[in-house]
Amino acid sequence: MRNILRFLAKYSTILFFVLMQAISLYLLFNYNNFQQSALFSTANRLNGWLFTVQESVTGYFNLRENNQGLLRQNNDLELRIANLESALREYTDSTKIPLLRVKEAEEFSLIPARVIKNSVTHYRNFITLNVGKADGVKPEMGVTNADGIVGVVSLVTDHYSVVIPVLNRDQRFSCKLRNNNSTGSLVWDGFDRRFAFLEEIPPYVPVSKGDTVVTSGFSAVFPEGFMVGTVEDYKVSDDANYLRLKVRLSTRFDAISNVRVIWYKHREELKKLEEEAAL
Amino acid sequence: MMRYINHILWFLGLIILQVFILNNTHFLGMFLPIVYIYALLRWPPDISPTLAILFGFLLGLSVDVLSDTPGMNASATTLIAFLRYPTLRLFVSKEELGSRVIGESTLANGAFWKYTVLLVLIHHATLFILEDFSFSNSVLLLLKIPVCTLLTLIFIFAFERINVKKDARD
Repeated sequence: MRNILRFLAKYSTILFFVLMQAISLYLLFNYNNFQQSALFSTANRLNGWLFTVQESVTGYFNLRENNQGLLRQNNDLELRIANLESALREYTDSTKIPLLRVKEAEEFSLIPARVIKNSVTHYRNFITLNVGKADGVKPEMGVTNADGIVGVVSLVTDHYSVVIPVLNRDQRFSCKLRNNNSTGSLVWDGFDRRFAFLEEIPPYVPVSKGDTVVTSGFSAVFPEGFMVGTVEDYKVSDDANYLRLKVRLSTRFDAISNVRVIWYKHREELKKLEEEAAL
Repeated sequence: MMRYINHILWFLGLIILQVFILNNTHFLGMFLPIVYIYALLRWPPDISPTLAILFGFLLGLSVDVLSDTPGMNASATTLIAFLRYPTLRLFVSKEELGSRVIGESTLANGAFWKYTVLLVLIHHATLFILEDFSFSNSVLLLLKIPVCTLLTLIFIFAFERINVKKDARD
């Protein structure tokens, strides 16, 4: 017994160091279970409050850019309304009986949110939003801003949520080329925050620079057709089986502040169906 | 007691500076200074090594929790907390060290800067290797370690300017 005590006393520093290292590495390698622990994240109550205070100051920094983004989006929407209304008029004859029934049911709606914490310099970046369970946010919901997709909700507490953005090496997003519907998965390489890569596109698909990439709607995260970016460059992958497209992301990740979480009507149903099919 | 208050203030101040300001900046898109370890570098040399390790761990963990990187900073900072005293002894003799403050003006022959450069380099290398882990982008990794170390050292140089006069008085 005395020997053990003497041993512990002699090596107490090293043992303590090993213990602290073990705790650190445990936290690090349970990274994927991170979704289950709100305690060690920016979504816990204290951190959420701290970042809300910070955002109340820094939120003013990008106002000009945000305003321009909102104006641009407003313009686009007004234009679309005008186009749709004129199209609708064509389908309405003089007897005022609409030949085309406009679908009333809302397929999805948007929950507005503000970014209170953001990072772009890591390999695995995260974004914290000021909305949580109380606002109807659930894990695996998609997040967009005025320009394009942002990411997917991973962790939700009562009033905050953590989003895994496109700029996270561990996350893939199902996307497609708008003009020919070829789907692939979008992934970031950790290098340049302006570009991500669309992989697994078959080599026979005709691609040209400037083609638009949108969400495929193949998962319950994003409905079909949300803007992702444009093709900047492309090359055949090393094993020559697939094309690898370099995509210029339409979202500027270092200047996002107003985002929307997508509430998708058939989301639960779709998820349940997919789970059953997977069994 | 007063000298502890000073260290605690640096601890809190550096975490706030790191998480709320510097983490939002980036030099050429991917490099950033990691300045919070300065609080650990200046931690008094005559305090029990266990306490220094605990201090390092808490420092790293605080930054981790506030930047969604569980364990990474804690691990790297615990490591340099452990290596701190041996590194210090590499450049300064035991008698010379005593219970003096660790600073540019109190350690002779540029020992402070040798000690700082070595520990910052170890810290950044550990941090970025843990972050990358798969070594999938080793070019970026090899670039990140020296560039971020340089940025960090510029900040530490500025902090030393704040402390130099105070150290001379003590």
